[in-house]
Amino acid sequence: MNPEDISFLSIKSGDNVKVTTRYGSVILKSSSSNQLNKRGLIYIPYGPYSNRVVGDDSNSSGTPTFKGVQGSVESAIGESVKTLEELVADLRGV
Amino acid sequence: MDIYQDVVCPVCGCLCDDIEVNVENNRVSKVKNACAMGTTKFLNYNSDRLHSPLMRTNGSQQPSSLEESITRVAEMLVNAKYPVVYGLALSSCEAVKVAVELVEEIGGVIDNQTTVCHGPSVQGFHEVGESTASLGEVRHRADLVVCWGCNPVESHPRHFERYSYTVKGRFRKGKEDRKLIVVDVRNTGTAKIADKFIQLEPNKDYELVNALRTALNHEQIQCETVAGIPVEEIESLAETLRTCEFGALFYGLGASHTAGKGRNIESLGLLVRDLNNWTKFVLMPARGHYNVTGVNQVCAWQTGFPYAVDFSRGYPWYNPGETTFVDILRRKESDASLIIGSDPVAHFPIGVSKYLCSKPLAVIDPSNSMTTMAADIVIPSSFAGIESEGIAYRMDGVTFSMKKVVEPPEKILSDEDVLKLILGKVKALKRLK
Repeated sequence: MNPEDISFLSIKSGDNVKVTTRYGSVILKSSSSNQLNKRGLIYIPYGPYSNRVVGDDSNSSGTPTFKGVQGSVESAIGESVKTLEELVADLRGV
Repeated sequence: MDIYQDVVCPVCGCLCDDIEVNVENNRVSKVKNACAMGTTKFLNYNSDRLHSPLMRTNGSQQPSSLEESITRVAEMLVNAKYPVVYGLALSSCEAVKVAVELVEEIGGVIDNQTTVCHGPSVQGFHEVGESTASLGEVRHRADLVVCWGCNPVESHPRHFERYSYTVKGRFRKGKEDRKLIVVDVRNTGTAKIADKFIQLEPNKDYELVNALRTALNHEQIQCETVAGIPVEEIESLAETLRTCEFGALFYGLGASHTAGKGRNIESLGLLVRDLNNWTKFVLMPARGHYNVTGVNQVCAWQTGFPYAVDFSRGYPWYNPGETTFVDILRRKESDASLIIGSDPVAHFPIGVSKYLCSKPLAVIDPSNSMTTMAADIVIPSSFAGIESEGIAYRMDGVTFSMKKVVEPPEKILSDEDVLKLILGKVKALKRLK
């Protein structure tokens, strides 16, 4: 996350945040990065956490839209990041 | 101690073939020349390993025999109406060949990681072709390197030192003889070392490429900024591209996954085609998995199509958006899946991952993953390029023979051999039907 965005949310780098898009939401550990030098832009590494907030519609291209998804970020101090085992249990519905 | 030289690194699409690996008592003890990713893989490939086939019984995975697991997978595929075989970008070309025969036999779909990676690139190339070259040609001749939505410093760490920017070539002394331009939405590690960084707004690649084509063809751009970039800067960039001696444009998912997808790549292809009116310019996707190019090649020469090939009609049928794995799952059409060396449960959007987990799921993989955790049947395999030999394709389409430097664990076969056993069992079951 952009360092100024982290300050704007009154949190510190490393605190948990909740990312919400029209596809879902996920709790993540924040990290301040100077690679995000423009405010309002966040980056989530590709994987099981980012895939909870992206859609599966490929618009007939075969490839889901993994980038440029609009969403919101809020402080989630006190909420925990799910483990991979918990994510698998969610997916299997057990 | 055995020292293996010129080992091919089985991590990314660079396929660096100058790795030196020391082996003591069948364990890799030292790795030279590899990047952090390659070194980590050679030294740690054995951690978090699958040691025995697993089958889900009463809700939990239990150890099973190889024979029983092979039979269960074959039964699953034969009994399914619309099975999908997916993965193979971390397998040898020999394994891909067997997988294609298997899918033809079961009348299912074969798809690979291209579908969630450079699938849009393939579609762009279908439209306008591909102006390309080997990475050796780029190394010896390129005086301009453009990285558009890709970050080789972090994802292909030896790309610059072996093939493109800092490397000494026959006609280039090195970095001082070349220029690096980065186009990206983030100030990435690659952007930080670039001679010029163009920071565009998200999802505006298509607009920027076409503004560049407009400027290149000496037509007027009728606005002040495009994608957040002032028109004067776009015109200056077009002039830099036009006046180089040999340009190489590498791009990543920052171009192929943003709004427009395949149309972005089609436009980049047209830009490079335009540039070849003035100079020599090539375009190349920075492929991720080490043999994702190979799985496209083998699929293409065996079926006519590079990915998402549907055999349910009795002949190969290809229509991205229809026969691609994510779309099949989204329509809830597949009724069984065999995953080979891939982790779609972790890497597909949550909606389709849920459906994937709700149907019979078998996995062939050397290591644990979210997909093996969710699977009904798991068959461990060896690591191609470390524990078994095979052919792989570099991102520029050049082939390499991967070496075997250690023995796999006892009773662990290569994915090629596991697929041959499944294919044999499938044929036997079909004869009984």
